[in-house]
Amino acid sequence: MSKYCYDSIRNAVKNDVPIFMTSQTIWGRVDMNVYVTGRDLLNLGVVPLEDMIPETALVKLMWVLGQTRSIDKVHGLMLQPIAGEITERTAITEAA
Amino acid sequence: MGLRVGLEVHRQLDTRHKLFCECPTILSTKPPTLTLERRLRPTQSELGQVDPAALFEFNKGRAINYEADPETACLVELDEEPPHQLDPEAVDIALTISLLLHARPMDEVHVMRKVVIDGSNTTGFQRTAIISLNGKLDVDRKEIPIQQISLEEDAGRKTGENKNTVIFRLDRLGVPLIEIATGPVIKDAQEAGRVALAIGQVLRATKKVKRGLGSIRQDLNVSIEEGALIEIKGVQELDLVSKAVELEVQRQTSLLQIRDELRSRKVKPADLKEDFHELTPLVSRSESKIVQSALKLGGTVQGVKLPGFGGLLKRELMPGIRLGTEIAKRAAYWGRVAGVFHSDELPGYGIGQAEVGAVAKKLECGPSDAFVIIADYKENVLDGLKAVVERAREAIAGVPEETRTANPDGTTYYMRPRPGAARMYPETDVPPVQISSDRIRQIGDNLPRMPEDIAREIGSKYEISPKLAAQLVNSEYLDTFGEIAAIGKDIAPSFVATVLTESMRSLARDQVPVENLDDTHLKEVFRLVAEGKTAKESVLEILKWLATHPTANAASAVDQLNLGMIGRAELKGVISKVLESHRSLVQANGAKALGKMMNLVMAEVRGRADPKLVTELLRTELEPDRG
Repeated sequence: MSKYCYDSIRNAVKNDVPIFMTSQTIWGRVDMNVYVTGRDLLNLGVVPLEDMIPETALVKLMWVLGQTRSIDKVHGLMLQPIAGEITERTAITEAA
Repeated sequence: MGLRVGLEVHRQLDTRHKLFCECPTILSTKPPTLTLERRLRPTQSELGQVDPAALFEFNKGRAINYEADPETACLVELDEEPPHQLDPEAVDIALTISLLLHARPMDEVHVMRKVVIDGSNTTGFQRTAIISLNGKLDVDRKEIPIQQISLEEDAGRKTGENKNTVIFRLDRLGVPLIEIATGPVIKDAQEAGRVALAIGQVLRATKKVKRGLGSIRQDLNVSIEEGALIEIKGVQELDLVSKAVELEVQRQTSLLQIRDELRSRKVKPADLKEDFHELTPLVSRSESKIVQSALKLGGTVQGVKLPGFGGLLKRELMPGIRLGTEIAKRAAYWGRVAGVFHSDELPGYGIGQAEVGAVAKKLECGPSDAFVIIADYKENVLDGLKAVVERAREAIAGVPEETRTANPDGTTYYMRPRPGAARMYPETDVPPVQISSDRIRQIGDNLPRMPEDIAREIGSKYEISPKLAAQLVNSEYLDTFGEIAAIGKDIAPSFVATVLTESMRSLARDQVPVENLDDTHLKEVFRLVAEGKTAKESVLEILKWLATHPTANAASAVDQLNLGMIGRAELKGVISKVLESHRSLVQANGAKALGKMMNLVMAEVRGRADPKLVTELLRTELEPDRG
């Protein structure tokens, strides 16, 4: 994510447009505290979605926006596990 | 003598989650589902330096095996995923402890990395964070400064080791530990024990610390005048704190005496040379198994002379630990060698008088000299002998600074050199945590009560002596006591308290595994007493049995031991039988025979009948007119 995007993100957040971060990796988890860009984006109001995969996040957000338009509730529902799409712990398996 | 001791008390916190992930803080009892092998590789720091201790461990060429299972470890423990945020529950507990010890919490908590090179952490470092500074604790009217209170992650649990591999279980890695460091103001061994106890009481007051073996570890920093600062790691039991201090004082004093003796013999560090001699031909026919197995594997035997050290290597520093042992441990550490022999213990270990004579001659040793020989691979032998010479040179200077590990008997052995000061650096993966004044206020308004207040309260509430109340508060069973006392008035609180303190201690002294007794066992036993199903006198016997049969319950213990109460009818039968067989005595003495008959009946039914009931039934028999 390049810095030239920051203004647009700031603008979107200001207008209650929900912005989330997911990981492209199947087994990965988003950790935005490790690199500077992640920390910048956190400060701008981007919400990390733990280990939810992007495809699931897109569908879930469509569903959530059908339930509520309150930005706080949107954030809360996205982070609330509903069908195993988001977990606190990344399990140890052979695939890991 | 100038003894100064500082304590570092470590205790596991009983949190829901580990310090940097959401795994539970429990130890696994199941076999691991995953094992992986890793190696430690040192890299340069930001200042371009390589940590010498890390390099040394790397040079040992050892592999580290980690064992994990999905219930007690996740990708964070494997270092495949960055740490999550600092566990807020652990921070709250640490803040509670800080306020109880009058320490000043940090405005912002910064997580740091402390280099750890034994492989017990998958990351190669231990995460640690200072929570507060400058506290104090009054112990016997003396103010003990608490320098620092920190949160740390516990290390992996060592489950095995051989020459080339060390195995760690990852269930314990990441369990929160509180670390409390006192200033070096403790002046004698007993005081060290009392301070450790007092800190333990504060920790227990939070009810958020883990109990039992392995949940507590004390490190001691001990120095005496002209001696050196020695760090003793891993004293697990409280009772061992003062013992370990005493033994360390003894060790340093003895080392200083050896120093003086070496000086009076005019031995100089320069006299000790790395002049190693090949001795294989001289000992190749020896009966020593160590020598033979080293030679069979293509190894060698070499030795070095220690001029002026004659007779000093057998000087005892601590029970079972001589200067020769110290030198051998050092060689074992730096040379990865096991076969170290010194002249004060030879002939022996299969090396005969003739061989000793030949070696002494080859090394040109006179009667006032000593020598050390090592059997192993050549490279290891050379590293080992270098370490021998270095340790011998240090003996001339007195006491070398070391980090030592405590044995279960309070003696210690060489663990590693004291680490450099620059082994802490920031953990950049975890953002700092701000501690708001609101949070501190809220914790401050809800502080748990201190042990002495609790003791006073339970003393008056249950009418038990102040001494017994204090013992109860110091024991692991305070909460259990409350629950048992709640069973009802059929059970005397002072009896419960005595069992939970004095009796449990004496059982433990008799090697009964009382740690197997859980709260349920204890509650069941007292409930059976309260319900009249077994006698007070039988409680110890039942507990003893349950400790060795922890999967059984109290009722089955009573059955197994035949300690159930006998019924009124059966008791009456026993009484008439006793009276019958002493008929003449009863007839002659009438009611005055009560005491004697009582003894005879109790001898038959002790533990199975209430003495009060026996008295009552006897009375009716002996004094029918009272009826």
